[in-house]
Order: sequence, then structure tokens, then C-alpha cells
Amino acid sequence: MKNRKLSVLLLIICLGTGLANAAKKTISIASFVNNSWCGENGGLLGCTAFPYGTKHYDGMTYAILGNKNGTVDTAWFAADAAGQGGGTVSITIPVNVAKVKTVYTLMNTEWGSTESGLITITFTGSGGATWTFQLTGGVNVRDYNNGNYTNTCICQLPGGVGQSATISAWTDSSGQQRLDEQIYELPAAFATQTLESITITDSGDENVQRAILAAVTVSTTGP
Amino acid sequence: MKRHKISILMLMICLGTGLAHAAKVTTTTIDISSFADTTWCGAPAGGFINCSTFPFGEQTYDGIPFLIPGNAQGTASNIWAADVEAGGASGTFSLTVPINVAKVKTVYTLMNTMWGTGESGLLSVTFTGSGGATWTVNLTGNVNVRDYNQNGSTTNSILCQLPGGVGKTGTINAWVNGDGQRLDEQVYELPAALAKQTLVSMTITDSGNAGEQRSFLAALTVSTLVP
Repeated sequence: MKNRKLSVLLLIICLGTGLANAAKKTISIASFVNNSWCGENGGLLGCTAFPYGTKHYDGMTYAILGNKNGTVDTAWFAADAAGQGGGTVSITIPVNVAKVKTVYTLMNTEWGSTESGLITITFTGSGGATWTFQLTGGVNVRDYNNGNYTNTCICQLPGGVGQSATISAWTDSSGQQRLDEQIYELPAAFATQTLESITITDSGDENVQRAILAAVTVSTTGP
Repeated sequence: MKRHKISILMLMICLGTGLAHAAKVTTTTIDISSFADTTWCGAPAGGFINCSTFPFGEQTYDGIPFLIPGNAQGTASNIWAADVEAGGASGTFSLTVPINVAKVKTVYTLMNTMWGTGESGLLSVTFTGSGGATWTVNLTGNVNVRDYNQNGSTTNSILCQLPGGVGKTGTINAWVNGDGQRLDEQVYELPAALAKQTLVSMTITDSGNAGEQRSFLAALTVSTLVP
């Protein structure tokens, strides 16, 4: 009887570990979205083509808010949070997922600047670990519109823990509008903690650069 | 008693699967040194721009290991270059690299071009499986591959994406030297039929020309995992 209980217990642990290892979890940003693709700033260029719902980009799953009619808020627009003015705005998104190794975001900007320090993202763990990464236009994030602002990104995956990189997630059929995928391979300390939250801080301005966050997904495996 | 046996059996399967997953070698670098026909600083045209900065040996890009032929002295060839095969002339030239790895799901190459054009049909890659499955991908400049040298007159953009599923391909950046030279990483997620067979070989076919577009291959790695 004792052996039986032990084997059942081990089986539960084994299956549980297997399931935990396979975890990829979309994080709801419903509490933070503040406008729709076609509502922001009179509507993003090509707004009706922008995606919503469950999407798969680069093998990763994302949950983008919104609906077909464009009447539901889709993303967090820093420009809206700032009231279309200057100043620093931020959001802190609860995550609460254990042993996260990689975080994926769909983020772009309205306008764009190569000046550093305008957008930061901070990851906070339950055991006190924090990691702040500065996103630079033309490297880590691009203007959503292929135009006169930032049109390049590093186009790589992270090379190891404590590194970040950016590749393309979605482009419309003309290639003119796009969503970028930022990939953050968290420092090793996070692998033994629960990732409690992600904070995005934007210090841009109108006609300079303002962040757009469309989705967040976390994974307990590497990129 | 019956439930006990089932539990034990499931436990063994679970542990076995976990151990097998942990122990399995999922990526294999394929040695292309026997096909390499020139060095970074050799032919054609006296070598690549800033050739001494180009990598060789075991390198890891985007989390994938690559084995680039060559040595520190620069005396061993680094790449297979279609333009060298063609002797600087036009014509179709191909390379078939033996692989012979079972259940490959993803193939990674380090490939760029000398010169470059957005014209399609100049470059293709064909994967051949042991059971007869084949998959040919046409590589287009500015989509799947770029000129190794950043300049305004040839090809300077790529998809910048991973494949979206089986039977698809993507290209991201692998290496840059900060001086305008680069190596691209093509990622091929093989069709389901190939993933069930042994991947026998990969064939590169180049129909370009000097001054137009000619490909070169620096490394090849296969994986039994998806990208």
C-alpha cells in the first residue's frame, strides 16, 4: 500500500513537472488597454487590417484584445495615457507565473526616436529579483508604420539570459504597417522565482515617440 | 493491484520520456568543410570587405550552435561560394550536403549573397528525405537572404521572422561586425512528411551571376525540435 501511494505521488509530480515545463501563458492586459486600432489618434494608418484575438507569430501565441467592429479597446497607447501630451506614463501588469524564463511582447511605437531612455521595461520577481531593460527605437522597437521614423530592428533572438532582442511579428499585406515581437530572456535569478509583474514606462512625447503595447506572453522555456 | 501496476507503468513512461527529453541531443552541426571552396579573405575579388572580422569555428547565434569551417591562420576555407564554383561567370551551380539525421524538424543555415537582387528564381534549397519526401524553397533577395555587405544598391532587408509553422521558412539576423557586414540565418521548418524520415541531404542551386547575385553557405545545423 505504501509503495502504491508513493508511485501515485511520484506520477503526479512527474506529470505536473512535465505540464509546468510546457507552460506558455498569455497575460491579460484588459485592465490597461485604453483605445482601439481605429480609435487612437484618429486611427492608426491601415487600422482595419490590424489583428485581434488569438494569434500565432514566430511560433508564439498571443491574445490581442479587440473585436471585428473596432469598438473594443485593443492596446495600451502611451500617448493616450499621457493625454496626447508630454510626461512620463507607466503601467504595471500583474503576471504571477512561476519560473518564467522568457517574456514576449508585441510592442511598437507611434512616431519613433533612436534616443535611448524613452521606454523601459522592468520585470519584478517574488524573491526580489528585478531586471530593467531600455528599449531603443531602431533597435528594439519600430514605429508601427514604415515611414519617416524608426524602420529597423535588431532582427535577432536573445543570445542568452539577461538579453533581449526583437523580430517582426505581423505585417499587413502591403508591408506598410507592422507589429514587432520583443523577446526577453530573463536573468537566471527569475528562474527560481515567480514573475510578479512587468512595468512599462514611457517618457516620450507627441511626434517624438510613444509606445503601443498589444500583447504579453510568458514562457517557462527558453526562446 | 491493477491500479498500482498502471500507476507504476505510467510513472515509468513519464520518467522515461522526461529523461529521454533531457538526454536527447536535439541539434547537430553539419560539417561542410569538405565543400568549402574559399576563405573570407580569399577569392573572389580579394576577399570580403573587412574579411578579418568574419567568424569561424563553433559559434552560437540566436541560441543555435553553428560550425563555420576555417582556422585562425586563415588558410582553411570558410565557405562554399557559388561564384567561386562558377569561376566568376554565369551558369547554374549546385551543392548537395549529406546530412543523414533522423526526424529533423528544423534546418538552420548561415547564408548570404555576394551582390544581390530581388529577382526570384536565382537561388533555391531542396531538402530530401530517406522516404522520398522532398521540399524545395526558392530564396528571394530582400526576403530570405541579403547581400553580406550593407550598401544601398543591392539587398538589405529580410523577413526578420521565424517560420509560422511546418513547411514555412523565415530569416533573421545571425552575426554583424558593426562595420556593415553580416551573416543571415535562414530557418526552415520542414514539412511533416520530412520530419518523419531521415533527412538525407540539402541541395543548394544557384543560377545567378557575378555582379548580380551569388550565394555562399557558411554553416548548416539541423534540429529535431521546432524553432
